[in-house]
Amino acid sequence: MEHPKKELIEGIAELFEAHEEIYVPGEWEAFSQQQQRKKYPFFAQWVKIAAVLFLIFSVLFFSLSRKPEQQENIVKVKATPVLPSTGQMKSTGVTTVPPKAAAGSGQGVLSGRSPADQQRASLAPAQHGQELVLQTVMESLTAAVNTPVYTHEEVPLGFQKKELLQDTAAQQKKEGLSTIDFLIAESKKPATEQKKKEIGSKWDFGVEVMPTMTQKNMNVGGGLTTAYRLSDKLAISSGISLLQLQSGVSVGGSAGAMDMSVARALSDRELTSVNANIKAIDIPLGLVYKINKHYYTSAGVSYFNVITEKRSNTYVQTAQINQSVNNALTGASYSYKAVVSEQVSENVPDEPLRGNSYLGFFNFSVGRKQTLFNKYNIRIEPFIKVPVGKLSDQELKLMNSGLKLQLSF
Amino acid sequence: MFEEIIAGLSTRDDRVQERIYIQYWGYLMGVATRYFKDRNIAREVVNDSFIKAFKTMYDFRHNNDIIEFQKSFKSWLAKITVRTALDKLRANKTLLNYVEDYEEVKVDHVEVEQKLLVEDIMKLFYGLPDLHRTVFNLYEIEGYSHDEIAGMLSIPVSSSRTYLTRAKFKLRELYMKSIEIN
Repeated sequence: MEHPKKELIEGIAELFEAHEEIYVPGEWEAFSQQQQRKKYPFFAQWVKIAAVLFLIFSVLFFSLSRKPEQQENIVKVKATPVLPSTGQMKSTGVTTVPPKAAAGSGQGVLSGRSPADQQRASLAPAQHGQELVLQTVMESLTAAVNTPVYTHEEVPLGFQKKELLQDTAAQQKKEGLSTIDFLIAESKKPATEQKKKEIGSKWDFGVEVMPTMTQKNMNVGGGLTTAYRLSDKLAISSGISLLQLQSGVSVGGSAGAMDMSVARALSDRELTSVNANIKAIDIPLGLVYKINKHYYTSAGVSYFNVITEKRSNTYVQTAQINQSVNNALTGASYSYKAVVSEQVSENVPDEPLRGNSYLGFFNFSVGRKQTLFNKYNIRIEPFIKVPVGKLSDQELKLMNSGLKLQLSF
Repeated sequence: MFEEIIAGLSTRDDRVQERIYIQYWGYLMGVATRYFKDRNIAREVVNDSFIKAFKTMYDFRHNNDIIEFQKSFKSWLAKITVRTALDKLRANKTLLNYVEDYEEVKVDHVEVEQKLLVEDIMKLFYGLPDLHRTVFNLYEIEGYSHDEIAGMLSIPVSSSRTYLTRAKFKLRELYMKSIEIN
């Protein structure tokens, strides 16, 4: 059959108007899987992170649930009063002098003599019987620590006075011992009280300011922070802040600017860059690990809700103009064509991000904490925020890094 | 088939997406491969087009007329694919690649003596610069005017006419060469 002759272009147009490829089995399944992945990006990674976090929290929970019992035990042990130790009283030479000897010697016996001399004087006249008496007296004195025994009938007035003085000295000694023990006990108390204090305040609240930078622009944000201490080393942090992000992306080959072809030179406009200014609410949730007393590190994600968005396109407009030059000497005028280009920025009504919420950013940071007046904490925390999910698909580069300055109390 | 699609669109049934995808995949791939030599990029363009279509197709007006629906729905999908292809070209900065050393060979009229095959014509297509091929597709096959093409590609109207003329000359030249080789 002869094929009717046609002009090539006409034939091509007719051919492609009706052209369809044959469907390849499996394309729909691949497409729907891709859609599922886009709906739940990093789903597998999220499951792994959730499993690790669950393990950490469960271990911490069980370890924390055992700790209060131990502390109670410590408290109980500490609370028991320390009894003063009983020690042997030294013999101070208080003796009962038999009436005869006492009568003989008179009241002045004790007036100027030392207890040892008095003991020798009392022992000298009566050796055998008096020794026995002395022994029994010594034994009774050592046995009765708290209750000094006064035998006023047997002991003369001078002896009574001395006994009183020596008894009070013994009491003072006893009190001294108990004072020492008391002080020892008191010195140990503040540690437990401090521990109790620390246990009581697990929450931290604060305010923060964070200057941040995208690829080309400087931005700023600020807000409130909070943290809950899970253990000495771990804490969960969160907060809410208002962020302003400016970002832009270049469109078009910058290197080709000088190699402009005739066609491009004649074209009216060329899009060179797209810029956007976004204000959004950022709600982070992260895990903080305390490296030591001053340094810590943190990782988490943040929820991002765009409140306002302003976009603008920057164009390079070129125009051909005729210029004429007059030669002052010859009076001749020359005209020539020149290409003039200028940069023009126009606002774009499109706001594809505005009003939408995204999960959002991965946040990583390392910080240093400094305590102030034992009450406040100042934190300096360099951070980086990496966009994930739909935010990473945007043509704008929203990855930013900066410095968080926090004051917490 | 089209009755089921209309019914699914009316009830906003998500299951109709699979039917529409399978029904129109071949046609939209035919459109996309005219703009992109790389089939993976063409496939991406087709999938992106379907994503856009699925968002708004439930509001597509059909008046329960199956024949009218077939034409208009197909045309609507093709327009989405063309715009998606142009966005992709702009994102890949391909449209800005102007061929400096273009040798203009004026071949006005070529008569085709044998049946044209899609594979052969595609080879001719990919021999054109991206901008020329795009303008040719938009004018000769999609049916846009030069004013519309100039607006879509951000080029002057006169440039659109120039590119179309050059594309036609080039296609004829390549076709003549391919016949000589064979």
